[in-house]
Amino acid sequence: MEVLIIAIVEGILLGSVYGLGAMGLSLIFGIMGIINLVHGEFLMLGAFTCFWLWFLLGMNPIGATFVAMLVIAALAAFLYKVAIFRVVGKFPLLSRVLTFGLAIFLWNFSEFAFSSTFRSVNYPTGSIGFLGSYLSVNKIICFVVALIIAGVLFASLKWTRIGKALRAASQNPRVALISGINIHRIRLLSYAMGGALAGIAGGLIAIQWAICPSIGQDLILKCFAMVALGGLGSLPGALLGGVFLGIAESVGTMYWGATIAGVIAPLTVIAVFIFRPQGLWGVVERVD
Amino acid sequence: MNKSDKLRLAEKFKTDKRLWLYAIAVIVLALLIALPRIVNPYLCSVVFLMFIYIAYAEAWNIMTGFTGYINFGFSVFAGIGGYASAILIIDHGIWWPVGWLLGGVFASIGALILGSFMLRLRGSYFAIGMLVILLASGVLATTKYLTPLTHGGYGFQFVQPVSDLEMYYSAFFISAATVFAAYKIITSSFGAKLLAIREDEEGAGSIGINTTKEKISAFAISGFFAGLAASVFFAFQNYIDPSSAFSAWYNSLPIIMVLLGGIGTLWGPVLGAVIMIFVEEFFWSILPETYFMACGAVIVLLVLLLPGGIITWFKSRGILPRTRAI
Repeated sequence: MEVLIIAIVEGILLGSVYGLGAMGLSLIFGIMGIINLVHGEFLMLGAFTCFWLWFLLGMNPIGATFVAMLVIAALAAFLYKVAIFRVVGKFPLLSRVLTFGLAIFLWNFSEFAFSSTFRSVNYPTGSIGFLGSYLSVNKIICFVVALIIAGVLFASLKWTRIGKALRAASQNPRVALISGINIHRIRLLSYAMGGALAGIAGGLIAIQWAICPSIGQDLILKCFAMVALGGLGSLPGALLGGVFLGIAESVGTMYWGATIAGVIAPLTVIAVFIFRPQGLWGVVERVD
Repeated sequence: MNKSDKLRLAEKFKTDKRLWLYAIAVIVLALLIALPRIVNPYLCSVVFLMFIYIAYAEAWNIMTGFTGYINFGFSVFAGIGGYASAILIIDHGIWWPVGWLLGGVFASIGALILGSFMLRLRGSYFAIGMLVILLASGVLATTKYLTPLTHGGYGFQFVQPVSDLEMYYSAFFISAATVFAAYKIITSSFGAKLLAIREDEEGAGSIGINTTKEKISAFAISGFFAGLAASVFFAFQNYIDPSSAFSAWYNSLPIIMVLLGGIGTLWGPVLGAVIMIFVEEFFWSILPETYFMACGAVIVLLVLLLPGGIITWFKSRGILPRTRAI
């Protein structure tokens, strides 16, 4: 029984980090209607940025995570300005294939530049005893950081002017434009924010797990699962979907081994699509 | 033929441009058929691969180009076809043409099953879902529950009782069949319905087109040809394992080829496949490490500069007639 509780707790700790990444994906879709297939690579690059900052400059991993956030946000803004803004609102095919091509490029670029060996950030903060087993403090720190970031995000969406502009843009872009909101800036900002969230999540992942360039593909699959669970476009849904997936994977690994746990994310997506396509907290469907 | 007949024929060639096209086509076809006798085996294998690519591209186009539903899971059907045909031929001793056809049939059945729930979803969800299923298939093929059937994560090597010549002509025939099927589809009312779905699904539904049924049909046909071509491909490769069967590269390859050539057109995929073979042979030897990266960059550039592909661009400029049959 205790083992189960530990698995669930670990799942929550892990899932909230995943959920950060998923929130970025959901945000971008909610505001622009684009499925950002590059998101996995943003996560991966965030992880690597954190790793290299720690490895080459000896920076504290948590600090490196925040720097990674800024780096990936900048990358995302750059990609948006150069390529992605051209396909917003056009045929969905174009944006999907474009982000897909970008993902392939970034993935293989990283394989080429960083090689595919696994890297690991060493952040020794010990572990605390919990219910007869040990929980690594790393994971708890990452969980807290994730919660803080999520809290900041929700607070700013609710109370700041820009947050209101973002919400307005996601609900009805045309009326937002008429009301004087600069829709192009908002889209750029939201894409950069999505990248920032991915950067942080990636950094937090680097602290906990070994990383290599191909985790991008794996992570985007998990992000899809979380976003599908929570509903495309819903931020709290994405976070909760993340927690749910974290728990499912943790418990699944415990009972059935790692291979089956790898199938949990895809199976979740498929099950959600069959039974409740709009997710548990789905927002109004964007007309494709 | 007496002199006046020859004169008339020469006149025809001067006035009717299409005769030139047919003449060239006949020459090219004759060349392709006679190729194994003329050139060395390596070049033959390159042309063989070109046929497979043509079939892959056209099969992918039948689903995505005609209905507008982006199939990010093409490799699922290639993998099913490859595995099914290999298992049937090697483990159960079925005659190879039947084995290959059954590979296509199994892939088609897979498409029917997957399509029955995937195609009720909207475009965004379908795109995500197919990608997810592709990744899941790779994992599923390695689990210990399916290993007795699929030989597990390490795959298995085999030599199918097929000669190289038979493989070459089969690939030629299959690629021709795929293009012909696409031609038949796009010039039929079925094709018109698919194009209607692509342009305006709600509108199509409102005039009485059963969009789900048509989409599933297109999906199944696409899956059949994908599986069939993949069967030949894996027969040539003499080896199958989950990562090569459900490979991400051969998933993206049809996308690149069709985007390059002209999505939703008949000859676009063929053009894209031919160009791709040249590019692959050429770039693979110059920059093997950055090849995939370059392909990613190419996809990005294509979407930004030539969103429809070459043939679509030609059509929009009026260089090519804007009929469905091209």
